[in-house]
Formats: sequence, structure tokens, C-alpha cells
Amino acid sequence: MKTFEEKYTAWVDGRLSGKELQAFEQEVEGMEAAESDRREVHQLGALLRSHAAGGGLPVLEPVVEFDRAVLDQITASERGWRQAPGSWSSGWLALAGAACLAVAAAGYALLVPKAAVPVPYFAEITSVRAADPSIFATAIQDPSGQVTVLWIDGLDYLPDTYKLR
Amino acid sequence: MRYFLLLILWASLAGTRVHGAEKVWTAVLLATNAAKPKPVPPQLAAACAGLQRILKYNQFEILGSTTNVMDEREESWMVPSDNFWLRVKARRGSAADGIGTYLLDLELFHDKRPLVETEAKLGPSSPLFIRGPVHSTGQVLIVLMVQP
Amino acid sequence: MRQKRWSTEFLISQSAANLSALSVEDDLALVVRCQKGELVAFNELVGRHRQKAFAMIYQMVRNEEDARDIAQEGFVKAWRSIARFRGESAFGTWLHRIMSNVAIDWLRRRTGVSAGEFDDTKGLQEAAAGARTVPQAVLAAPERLSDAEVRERIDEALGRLSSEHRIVIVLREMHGYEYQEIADQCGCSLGTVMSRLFYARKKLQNLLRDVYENL
Repeated sequence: MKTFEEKYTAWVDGRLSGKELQAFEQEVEGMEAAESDRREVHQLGALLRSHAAGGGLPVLEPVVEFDRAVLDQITASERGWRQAPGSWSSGWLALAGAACLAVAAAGYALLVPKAAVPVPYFAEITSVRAADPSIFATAIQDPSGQVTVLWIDGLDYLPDTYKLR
Repeated sequence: MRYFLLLILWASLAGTRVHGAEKVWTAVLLATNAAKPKPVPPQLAAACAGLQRILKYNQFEILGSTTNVMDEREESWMVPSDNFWLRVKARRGSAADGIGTYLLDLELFHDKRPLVETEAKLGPSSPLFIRGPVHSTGQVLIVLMVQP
Repeated sequence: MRQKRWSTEFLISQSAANLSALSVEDDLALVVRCQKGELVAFNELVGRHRQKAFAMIYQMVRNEEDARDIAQEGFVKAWRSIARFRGESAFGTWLHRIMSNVAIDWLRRRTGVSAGEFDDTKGLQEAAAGARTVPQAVLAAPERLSDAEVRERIDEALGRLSSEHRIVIVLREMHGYEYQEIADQCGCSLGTVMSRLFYARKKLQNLLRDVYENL
């Protein structure tokens, strides 16, 4: 058994038909007022939709950091998954843990005078200056393929006659 | 216990390699699409799949290459081909940059004309590719790699 | 010499936009590449859909910082689930559902949004009467509002709704979800969704009547 609110919502959205519609129309006192209310709800809906589609919402900025954060989270979680030892026994895990600690301690004492961060797994470009206004340079990184490309656009096409040496 | 000692020994050896004399290898490549691609040059093996994805070429040939020993005191010229030169100033990265990283100031020249100047941080064996001009036979690329 | 200086790591999305090969591909082709593990293709999808996802989440949580975090979480979830995407709906629709799911989960954790019982009439002054006898608005002299004022009023009104009511309004009125889809996302019954929609609309009618009647 639907409540009045459920039936009213279904009616406003045009989801009642046949006997359900007839029963609802009999239940409502003053269909004229209800019709007027339905028009209002539709006006409200139109207003909200125009708000959603319009430019009134905040803009996601800066997108650089956003994309970087998404990719970092993905690569970090995937690295974590790959390293997850599915079938190791707790004994081996303990041994591996102890071995890691021993290596880390030895490495720290022997090799690393100060705390150091891990080597980046791909090259990073920190700045680019184009020599010519017609040249546009952009960095592309593909962390999964461990490739960094400095992508230069606006260079002259080299014809057949140009010998690459 | 034997394994611990071996691990420590391995770590020590690996660690000393980090502090060895690094070299920068640079090459000019021609990327093309071939029905039967030639084998990937061994220097590019690790990056090949990523390069193919980004550039949409399936064959990468080395047209010329050169290797310089890193010298933090002065800038050097790297001339992997007659057409493309690089001016390189390198300095070792700090601990905060990562062990074994180099910070490079690079300027790329094409037929003596400067194209771009860039600052890049390269870890050992993490190549930097520069997509240069398009030639009638394919796409010209320049690659730089720090070799431990 | 023109100078361009970027932060440590560049926009993959911006740069990917320069890749004509990527830009001409439709979402489905990119999804296929994602399913082969190509993160570059996924990055292109992030670039295409991030603003829309962020806007929808913002409408639900009303805080830019939170909306940003939730959108990031949503994209990570989408990447993890992309192997299961079969193309039965548009990628954008599929992503939208993931995003709204993540946002609802977040609201549930943060504000205790209930999947079941909730006092719909709380804070509603005229709903019961309005259901049967439409409340008569006493309007001041009509005054046309600027676009900025309209936006502000809508924002304010949405902010005054409870999370439960805001979710159904955002999903139904702003994004065209079906009742059942909302019920699935919220983990509540169809009747609850319809009831919440009834009360949420009533509240908004009371708050925004002068706005939509004077447009």
C-alpha cells in the first residue's frame, strides 16, 4: 500500500495511469490546486536542471594536481597489490620482514648518511622554455610504461630531401 | 643466517653502484610503423611498450648516439647526430631528489637552431624522450638516459 | 623567448589532449585500452569527465574540498572496476553511478545518512498541508533576479536540505535518475525515495517559489 506522498510523487512525475490514477484523483481534494502544484514542481525541476547544466557550479581546479593525485593513487595501490604476498606463510613473512629490517639497517648504517627518498621511476620535467613562439612544448608521462616524453609541437616538417644523419 | 649475510652483501654492492661514475647516453631515433618491425634496441627495451602507446609507432631505430661522462663542473655538448645537438649541464640530485638522480639543464638544437630549453630530473635508467620534428620517413625522437 | 614553467609534474590530461590520436577516440575505445591496462587512456577519460563528476558530487556534499577528494576516490574505483564495464551504458553514465555511490557512502560515513528510517518532515513547515492543499505563496512585488542571485539562492536552498533529501533531489531533478536507481544507490526502498522526493520538493518549493515564479 503506497502512502499518499509516494502516490503524489508518482502522479507529479506522470507515473500513475489507469485505475491507480483514477483512485488518486478521487483521493485528492481539489484537483485544481494539485494541478497548480504539479506545475510548480515542474518549474522547480526546470530551475534545478538549468542550474546543474549552467556555469554556476564551482570549477575543479587545478586539474594538474587532480589528475596527478588520481594517477598516484592508482599506481600506488597497484604497486601495493603486486607486492601483496598471496601465498606466503606467516613464517616466511616474519623471515622476510626480519631480512628487510636487517638490510635496511645495514644500508642505513653503511650507505646512507642522510635520509633519502626513493629514485623516481620515471624522468620528471620541471620546466620548459620554448625558443620560438611558434613552438609549444608539453610533457607527457605514462607511469605505467615508465616513459616521459617532452612533446614538441610547431616544428617544421622535414621533407624527403632532408637527410637525417 | 647465510641468507641475511648474502642480502646484506648484495645491498652493499647495489649501494656502491649508486655512487659510481654516471654517464649520460643520448640518441636520435626514428620512429616508424613497419609491417615487420625490427627488434627494439636493447637500450629502449624497458620503455618500448610505453613509447608505442604514446607515440603510436611500432618501430624505433637509433640513427646516432653518444655517451658522455657526467661532469658537474661544466656544461657539455652532446652530439648524437649531425642534425641534433644537446647542451647539457648536470648536477647530482640531493637526497630529497632521490638516490642516484641527476638534475639536468638541457637545451636542444636542431641544425644549430635552439628549439627548447628544459630542466629535468632523471633517475638511473629512467629515460627522457623528446619528440622532435616529423620527417617524411617517420617521427624524430631524441632520448637521454642516465647510465649507472 | 617564451617561457612556460610548470610545477614538478605536468598535466597528463592537458598533454594528452595534445595527442590527436587520443582525442579522436571515443570513450568506449579508451575503455577498451584501459581494460588492457593503459593508464594513459584512463587519464584521457579522467580529463573528459572530471568536471562533470566533480559538479555532481559538489551538489551532493556542498564542499569543494570534499567533492575533490570524493571525485578522486571515484576515479580510482572506476579504474579498479573498469574490467567489468561491458558497454551496456555510456561510460559517462557508468562513471556517474560510481561517483554518486562514492558520494553517498562518504555522506553516510560523515553525516550518518540513513538508508532506512528518516524523519522526512523534520524542518518542514508546510509539507503536510501542501500535499493536499497547495500552500499559497505571499509574493512580494516581482523582482527579476540576476543569474548570480539565482545561483546563490539555489545553492543556499540545497544547502538547507538534509543530506537524504539533497541526494534524491540532485539525482532525480538534476541528473534524471529513475526512482529505482536512486533506491539502489542509497540502499533504501522505492517508497522511501518517492517519499523523500515529495518532502524535498516541498521544502524547495517553499524556499525557491519566488525564484522560479519570477524567471
